[in-house]
Amino acid sequence: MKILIIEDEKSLSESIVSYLSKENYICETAFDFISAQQKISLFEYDCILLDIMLPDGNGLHLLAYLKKLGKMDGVIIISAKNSMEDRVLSLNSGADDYLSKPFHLAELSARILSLIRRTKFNGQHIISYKETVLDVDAKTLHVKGEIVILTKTEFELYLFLVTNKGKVISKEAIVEHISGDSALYLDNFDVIYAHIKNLKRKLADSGTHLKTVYGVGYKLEL
Amino acid sequence: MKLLNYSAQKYLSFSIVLVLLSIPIFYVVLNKLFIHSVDESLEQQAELLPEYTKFIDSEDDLTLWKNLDWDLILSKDTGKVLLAKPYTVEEYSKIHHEFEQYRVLEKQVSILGKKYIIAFKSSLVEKDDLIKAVLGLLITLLIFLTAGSIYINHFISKRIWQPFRLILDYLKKYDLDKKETVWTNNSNITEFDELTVSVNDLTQRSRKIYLAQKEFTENASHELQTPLAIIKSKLELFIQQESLSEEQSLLIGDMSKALAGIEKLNLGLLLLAKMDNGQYQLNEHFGVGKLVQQSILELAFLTEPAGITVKFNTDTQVDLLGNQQLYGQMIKNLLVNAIRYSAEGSTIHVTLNNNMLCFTNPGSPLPFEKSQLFRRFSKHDSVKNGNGLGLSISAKIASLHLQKLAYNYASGTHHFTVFFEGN
Repeated sequence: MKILIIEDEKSLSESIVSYLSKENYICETAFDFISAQQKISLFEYDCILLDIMLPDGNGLHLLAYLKKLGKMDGVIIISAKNSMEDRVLSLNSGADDYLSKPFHLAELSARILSLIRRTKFNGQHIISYKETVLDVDAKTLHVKGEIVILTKTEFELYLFLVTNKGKVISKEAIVEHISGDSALYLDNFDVIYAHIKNLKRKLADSGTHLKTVYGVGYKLEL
Repeated sequence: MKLLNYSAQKYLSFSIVLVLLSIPIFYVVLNKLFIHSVDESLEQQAELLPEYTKFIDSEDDLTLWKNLDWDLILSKDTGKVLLAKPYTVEEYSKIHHEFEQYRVLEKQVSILGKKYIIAFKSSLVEKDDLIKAVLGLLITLLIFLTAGSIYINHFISKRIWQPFRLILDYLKKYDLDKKETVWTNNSNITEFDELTVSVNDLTQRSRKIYLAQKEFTENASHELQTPLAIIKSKLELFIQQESLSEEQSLLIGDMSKALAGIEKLNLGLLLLAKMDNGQYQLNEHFGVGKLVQQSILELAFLTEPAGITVKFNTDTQVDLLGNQQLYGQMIKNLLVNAIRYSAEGSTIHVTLNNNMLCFTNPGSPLPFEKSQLFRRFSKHDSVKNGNGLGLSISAKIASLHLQKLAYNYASGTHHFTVFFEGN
């Protein structure tokens, strides 16, 4: 899978590359409008991360350029503006997703995976992890062929962990992922502990793959 | 005291003093003038006396003259010293039955070889009447003059001060949050034109400062997003290291937590700044009940582990015009707030009717003044969590929708109520 990261902040760009490379994505970077435009016209990408505030141009114009080339598959807008208008404008302009800065790399990774699943595999909705099978559409979990009833939160939590398997996921990233925009008013992450505990209990033996990283968060073994 | 009343009062007191002073002066002057004229006519009579006396040929003529001319008193010369000038006497008048004043001039005269003293008399009764009439006329004139001048002055002042009053009204209604309106003035008076320029200068400058301040918050918040994003991503890469010790993990955990706090603070400030700057469109129709139901579902991850039940009681459909996303934020914030301060296993009630949306949860009373609840950054030892922005954001969202968020504590229950006709 090839990803183009159009982000003028080199330090952030490096972080993204570093994180995504470990998930076997091939990452290319562009730090300005011109080089981004050249890369877009020359190469094909499975997913494009696009910062709409570039030093020499508006990222939304790149979106229009992509549309002209017919290469609209898989664009995720990343913006520091975090405004509703930007989000609506981006999605209306043909972007597939919108992520506002500052975001968790785990969240970005989950969004990319979900996007690729939708666009490249015709909405493949079955994800397997060891002996567990998740149906993303039906929101069901089978462990060793047996259905396990999870709450909506537990399912989202497990899916998030599975899509970021092999990575340490911070409590903050998990809370943000499952709380959406109400995260703004949350200040207590203990609630995650309760959900993880319940999830582990329901997963029984399979729950042992889920490790606690002391003080930081959780990790699902590869 | 009003400016017009002040000047009118000054005018009025001046005229009263003027009238009071003028009465005795008029009286004295008129009195003198009248007596002077009476005296002159008496002197004239005295001068003309030889013209009369030459026609008197006998004692009978003298008697006839005495009887015909009442203003003339003829008496024998007793040799007393006569005054050269006329003088005033009081005599009893048989006609008017009262004492009346007369002006008398005595002269020595010899008729038919005998010496007489002739006293010319002139009544001063008319003088009093005349003075009364003239004084009355003058005072009436003075009163009308004063009243007229006060009225005209009032009228003119009103017109002169009209631009001033308009500027005053403009300043009273001046609101930094409202769209800019420059004050224009059509008076031709230099001072008012200068005032207009100064007022415009002042209002524009304060508006500029205000806008700059608002912009600053927004820009600062925006600019913070990128460095925050970098720190966040670096921390996330850091925790991926296999060799991380427990001690290091704890340190990073604390950093992540603090960073999440900064992030929320920044987002909250940005949200408030954007609301202050009027950057949210309020043109969507949405159902409040639907938003509440969505929010309850979204917050299930919070209520489930704590065994908290949220009951939504409604029998009406309430539709609003505003910003659905913002309104949803308010509902979620109030719900999170209620959940945060509820004990495990308790029940939160959300009630919606045509007048209000109310969130109630049981709990112990606030340990601080409830007026501080909606203020930005009002922190208390008892409330260690949160950044102190949540409730002020909610209050601001309510007021953007012309509603009012209020807090009340009754019978062991906290009530956060959004009144739809609040403002």
